[in-house]
Amino acid sequence: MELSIDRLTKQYGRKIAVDCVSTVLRSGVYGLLGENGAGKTTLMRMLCAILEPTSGEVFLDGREVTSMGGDYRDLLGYLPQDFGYYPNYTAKEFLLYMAALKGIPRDVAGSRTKELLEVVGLSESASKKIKTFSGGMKQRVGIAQALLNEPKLLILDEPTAGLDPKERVRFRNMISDYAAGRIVILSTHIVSDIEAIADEVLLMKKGKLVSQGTVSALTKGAEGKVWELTVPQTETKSWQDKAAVANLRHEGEQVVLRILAEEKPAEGAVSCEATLEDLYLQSFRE
Amino acid sequence: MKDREWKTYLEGSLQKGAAVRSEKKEETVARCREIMREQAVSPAGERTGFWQFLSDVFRFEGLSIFGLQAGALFLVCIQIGIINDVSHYIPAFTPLFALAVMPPLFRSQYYKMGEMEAVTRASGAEITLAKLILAGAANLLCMTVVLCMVIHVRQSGDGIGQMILYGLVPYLVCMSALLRFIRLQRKEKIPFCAVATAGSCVIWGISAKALPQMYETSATGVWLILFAVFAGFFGREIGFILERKREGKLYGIIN
Repeated sequence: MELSIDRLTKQYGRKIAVDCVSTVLRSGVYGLLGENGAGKTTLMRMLCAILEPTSGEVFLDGREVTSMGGDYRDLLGYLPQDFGYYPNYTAKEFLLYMAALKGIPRDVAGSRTKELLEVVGLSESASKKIKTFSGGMKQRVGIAQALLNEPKLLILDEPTAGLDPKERVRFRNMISDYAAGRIVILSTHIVSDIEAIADEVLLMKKGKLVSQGTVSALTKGAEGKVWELTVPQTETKSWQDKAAVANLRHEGEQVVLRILAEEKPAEGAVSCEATLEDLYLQSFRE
Repeated sequence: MKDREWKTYLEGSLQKGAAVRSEKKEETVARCREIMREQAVSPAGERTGFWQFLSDVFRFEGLSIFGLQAGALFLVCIQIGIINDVSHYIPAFTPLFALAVMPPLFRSQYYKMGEMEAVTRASGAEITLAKLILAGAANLLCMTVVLCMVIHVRQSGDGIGQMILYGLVPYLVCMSALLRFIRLQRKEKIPFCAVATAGSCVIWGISAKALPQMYETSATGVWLILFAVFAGFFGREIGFILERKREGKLYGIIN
C-alpha cells in the first residue's frame, strides 16, 4: 500500500497553508510534527479528501483519491482535531451510528463496537451518554470510531490530546499493533508520543515539509548541537537570554541547562545525545 | 476500463518504444489485467447498500425527523381549527414542514460532526438523500392530513387540486432554496434560510387576506406555472445530490 502526495498545495487568499508538499508513504506510523499553523491539519484534511487542494494530487496505489469516492473512504479512518458528538447518544449508540454511515452491516457493527469499546477502555461506560464523559473519554470514543471500518489508512489529528499518561501509553501500544500493513498518520504536539511510535517523522514548517525520516536519522542532524551545562542558579536568566535553552533541571544549588547551539556554548559544556524534542526546538527556533 | 481498452492503451504505449515481442506483450497484458482486477475489488469488508443505509438512518434519525414533522402538523391543525376560509391559508402552513426538516438536516453541522461523517462511506450526498427521503415521507403524510382536515372543516372536497398546489408551491420554494444553499456550501445563509422560511408563512398568510384573487379558480394557471418552475428547481437539486451520490463525491456543508 502506497500513498503518494504530489505537490499538494492549499492557498487561502494570499496565505499558503500547505506549500507544494510531496512525499510517498508506505505501511507504518508517520508522525506529523510542526508548530501551530504549520499546515498539519490542512494537509490531513486534504489527505482525507474533505478539503479540495488548490493544486496537487493524492494517489493511493496509483489511483487518484477523489476519483475513488466511497471506495477511498472505505479504506479511511479519520479523527479530526476538533470534533463534536451527538450528546444524547451513548458511546455504543454513537459507534453503531458511525458504523451505519461507514456501511458496516449491523451484525458486524455490533461485535466491532463491543471489541473497540474494550480496546479503548470504555466497555463499562458503553451505555452512558457521551455528554457525561470527560474530555479523555470523548477522545477515546473518537479514536474508536476511526477504527470501526478497520481502515488501511488511518489519519489522526491530535489523537492524544486530553488523554492521561496511562491512556496515552495504551493508545501508543494500540497504534503500534494496528499499524502492521497499514498507513497511520498522526499529528501531535507531544513529541514523546511521536518518538515512541512513529516509524518516520514528517516535520512541517510554514506549510512546507522541511524534513522526513526516522527519528534516529533526523536526530542525527542535531548531533553535536546539544549541550549540557551546569551553572549556578544566578546565571540561569542570562543563559536563557543569550542561548536557546531547551530544558533546565535543578540539582541542589546548581542548574543543569540543555542548550541548543552550533558550537560549544561554554568551557564546561558537555555534548549530549540529541532527542526529537531538541530537533523540534532547533527547527522552530526563531 | 475494459480489458480491450487496456490492451489498446498498452499497445499504444509499447509501440512508442523499441520493437515488442508479441508473446511478452500478451504476458504483460495478462499481468496488467490481473493487477487491475485485484485493485478493482475493494479490500474493505462487506458494505451495506442504500436501502439498508436508509433503514439505519431511520433507526437513528427517524424519531427526530418524524417527531418534528408531527410538531409542525400539530401547530397547523390548531390553526386550521381557528381560521376561516382555511384553504387560502394552506400556503402559509406548508413552509412549516420545510422548516421542520432543517434541524435533522443540519444536526451534524450543529454538533460539529460534519468532518467525521464526511469521511465515511456514505458521502454527505447519501446522508442528505436518506434524510430527505424520510422527511419527504413525513411531509407527504402531514400534508395529506392537512388536506383531509381542510376538507373536513370546509365540508367539501371542491378545489382539491388547487389546494394541493397551494401546499406544494411554497414547500418547493423553501426546499429548493435550502438545498441550493447546502449545495453552494453557504453555511452562513442557513439561519437566513430558516428565518425566511418562517417569514414566508407570514407573507403567504398576508397574501391570503390582501390578494384573494390569487386563490380564485382563474389563478390556477399561475399556480401551475409556479409549481412547474419550482418543481424544476427542486428536481435539479435532487438530481445534483443523486449525481454526487453516484460519483461518491462529497456534498454539502462539512463544518
